[in-house]
Amino acid sequence: MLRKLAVAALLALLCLAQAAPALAHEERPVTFPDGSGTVPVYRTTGPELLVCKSDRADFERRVASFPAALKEQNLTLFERCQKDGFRHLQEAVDQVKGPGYTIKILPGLYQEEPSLPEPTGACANLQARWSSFGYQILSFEQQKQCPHNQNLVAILGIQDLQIEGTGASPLDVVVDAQYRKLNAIRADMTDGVYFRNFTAQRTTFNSLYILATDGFVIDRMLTRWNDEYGFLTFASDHGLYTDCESYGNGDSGIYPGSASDINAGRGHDVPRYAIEIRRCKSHHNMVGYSGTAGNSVWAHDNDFYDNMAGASMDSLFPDHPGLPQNHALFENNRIYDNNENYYRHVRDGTCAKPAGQRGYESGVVCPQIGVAPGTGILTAGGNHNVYRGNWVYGHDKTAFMLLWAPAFLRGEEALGKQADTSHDNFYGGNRLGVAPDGTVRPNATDVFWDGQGSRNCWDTRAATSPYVVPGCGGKAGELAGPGSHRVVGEPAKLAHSLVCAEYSVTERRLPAGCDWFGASGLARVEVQVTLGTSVLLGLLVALLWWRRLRGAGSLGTVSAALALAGLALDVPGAAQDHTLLPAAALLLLGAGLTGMGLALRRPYRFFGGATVVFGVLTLLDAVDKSLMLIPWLPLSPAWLRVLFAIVWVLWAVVRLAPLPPGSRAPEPVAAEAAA
Amino acid sequence: MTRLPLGVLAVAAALLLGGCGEPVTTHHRPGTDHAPATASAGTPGPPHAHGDHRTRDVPAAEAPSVRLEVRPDSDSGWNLRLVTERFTFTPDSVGGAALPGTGHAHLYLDGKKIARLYGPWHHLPREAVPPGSHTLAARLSADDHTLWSVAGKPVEGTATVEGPAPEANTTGSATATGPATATGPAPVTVAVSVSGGKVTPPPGRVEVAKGGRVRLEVTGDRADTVHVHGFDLERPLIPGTPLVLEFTADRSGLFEVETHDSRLVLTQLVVR
Repeated sequence: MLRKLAVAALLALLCLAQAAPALAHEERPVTFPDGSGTVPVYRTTGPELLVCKSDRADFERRVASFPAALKEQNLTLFERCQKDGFRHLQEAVDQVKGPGYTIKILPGLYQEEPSLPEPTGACANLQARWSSFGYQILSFEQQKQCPHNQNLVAILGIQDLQIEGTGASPLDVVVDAQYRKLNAIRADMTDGVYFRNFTAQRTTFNSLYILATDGFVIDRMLTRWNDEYGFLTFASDHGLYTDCESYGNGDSGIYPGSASDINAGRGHDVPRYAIEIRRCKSHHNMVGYSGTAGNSVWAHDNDFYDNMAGASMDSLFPDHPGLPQNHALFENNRIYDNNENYYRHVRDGTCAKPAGQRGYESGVVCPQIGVAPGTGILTAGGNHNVYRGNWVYGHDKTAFMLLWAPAFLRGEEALGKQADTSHDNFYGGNRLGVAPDGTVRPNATDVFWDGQGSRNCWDTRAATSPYVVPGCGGKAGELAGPGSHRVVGEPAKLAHSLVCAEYSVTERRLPAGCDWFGASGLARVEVQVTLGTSVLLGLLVALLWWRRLRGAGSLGTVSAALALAGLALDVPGAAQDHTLLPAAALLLLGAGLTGMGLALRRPYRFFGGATVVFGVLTLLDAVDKSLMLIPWLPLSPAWLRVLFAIVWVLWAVVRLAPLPPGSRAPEPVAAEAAA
Repeated sequence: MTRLPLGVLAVAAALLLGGCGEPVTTHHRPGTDHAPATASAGTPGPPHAHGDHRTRDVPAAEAPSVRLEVRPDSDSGWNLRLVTERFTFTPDSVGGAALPGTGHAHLYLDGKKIARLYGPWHHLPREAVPPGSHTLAARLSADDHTLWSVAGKPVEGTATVEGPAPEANTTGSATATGPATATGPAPVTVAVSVSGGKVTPPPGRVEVAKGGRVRLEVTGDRADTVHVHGFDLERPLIPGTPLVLEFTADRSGLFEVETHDSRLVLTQLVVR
């Protein structure tokens, strides 16, 4: 990957630098809570408000098959509710007079009709910025003033509120936003809020949105069919998700974004986690779990399956408090079969229809961003994450993906920060390629890593890309060897990322060269770039032989042949760097270039020497791609080759230029000095 | 040597054309349209206007439609197919709010609801349809079980189905049933077994319409010959192997079916 790649990368970086990156989720500026709260505990006492519908026949049908005691309890509550209860959840929320209230919602369908009308009067003309997502960024005061501009149910500034469904399962109580609001339920600055046992669904953003809250529980809740997220908890602390389920979301089912950054600056020893997520299921989403600035999240005993990717955490967006992402702990999760590919719904125009007509309920998902289908856990810029004891199996692409996220993507321009992520991530002691029942379900590869970052390690069973990765020691923070210490990702993978990042659901743009969207063989950008490079270098090698080495002995001829063979082999190897094919290609090319350099030293001492250096760097790259990642290097041998090749190609062009009329074949050595 | 390889040019061009001037990130662009839905979910009708279900009126131009096709199953019963337009089956969201163009279907036999359908295909068992001609109707329902309707009239598709032929008037208890077909009379089947000189069920009369098909199924415990009088049919009876005789009753009258050797009357056919 030579000069051209560098040019492409430079162009792309220039573009990147001009643009203000988009947000994963635009919101008013928020800061973390002070962390003085606690995780609330389920209550059975205290002031209680009831919410129910008035159709008795409908209610009796809904509770008919409940266990006797629960049915009796619900029938009693229904009688009480008919007398002094409310018909809409929002009406009950509005009656909460202080902390410690419980709202019980009886079985039924809640469409919250009074919240549905379009805003009028002052609410239709709020002074607030419009985000690129097509909605206004409202302040907390504006949310209070106009709670239903964006929310079906708004819980604003209420403390220690508990809302629970009284049915046998979450589906017995359904809060349905019908895609007519951004959020079905917004809990904003609601320390101690507790949600239990009901369903919220069908929004143009999030079903359940908890913001700037210290202390929350999401218990036996179901969310589904949202443009973006099922559960979104943002800039919050002391949170617990337990026994929840989410599916059919265009971004993720579970999104603990900007969880309190309580462990920033620490190593692997931490006193506590900000948010715990356990026994939840997230499936048939773009990703099961996502965590832009998902800091200090402890996710354990969850099932993330049948998504495009099981889980992701990243540092890719500005204005998320707590960047860069750090200290997620994933333990004993089952992450499997995340091989869905929903890009077909973008391609065929389904996702361009209005939300209600896309068919989310029938299994359509409109992926909001580009992710690699077939990935278990993706980390795009994060530090001190620990993934251990998880079952990760059945992935068509890879179990673990780790990518560079340069700091300017999150709006930090300082040069020293550009490589401040993807360090100290521990992927040790997982059960890869095997299901809990012992069935062997291999991942296509166990690792896809662009090589950037220090002190990352993996314990693996299947092939990895790159071919060798640093192994883990016994516990988090320990490596089996010296590891690697690179500040930028591999050039080929960087080019791949840049092309894939061109995805846009709005514009129905599915980059043709990116394998995530179906490119294969020669259509893949890695293969194209390698092909272009091989053609260019091949041409130079052939011309050097024809003009300068043809009659000068067998060393030059054999070496040129080796180099050409290596360049040819590099093309099919480009898409298979989990095999030894690229290393074999580099070995041939490196040997060939070294030999050519030695042969060229007679007519051109310095250019011949440069060719030998080029060959040795290529051999070093072959070692890097087969035996071990060479430690301590801030730039990989591949990058050193790219940089050196820029000089060499120009030099070769000069050396190949026709000699001035009248001059003879160059005198050994003297010709070099004259040039 | 200044030629740029094609692949690199393509990458650079893609980046220039698609990338510059707007965010290039490896993550989230503005994404799908987050505009709230405005499509009307129609107007609910009065309670219980149609059986247990209210209607939900939508303008004719936006209303879903359904056509009901019925064809006999190769094994038994019928296969029903609902050919819908502007409609998607959404079994997973049943119980939710009514969203235009989504839901499920209700199936009615002569006006009585007999099934909820979550997809375009449904198998109707033979037993579900009594003898004779009947009307099947499929109505499209929203997730909240209101029926999609136009001007108060539910959107529906109808078809006629012929139940099994009327059971033959039997004396005794010889069975007389016919396999279900969508059209045409079924053969009258008479099953008889002979054991230890005894006929089961005891011989009785079976009524057959003139021109109808008759199917005799006889099993015996000893070798014999079965004779259908009037039609001059004789067939050997082999112990343990059912003998099947099928013929068209094209003569009217009373005809005995008997065994030659043991001289037992198996049944009497009344053809008229």
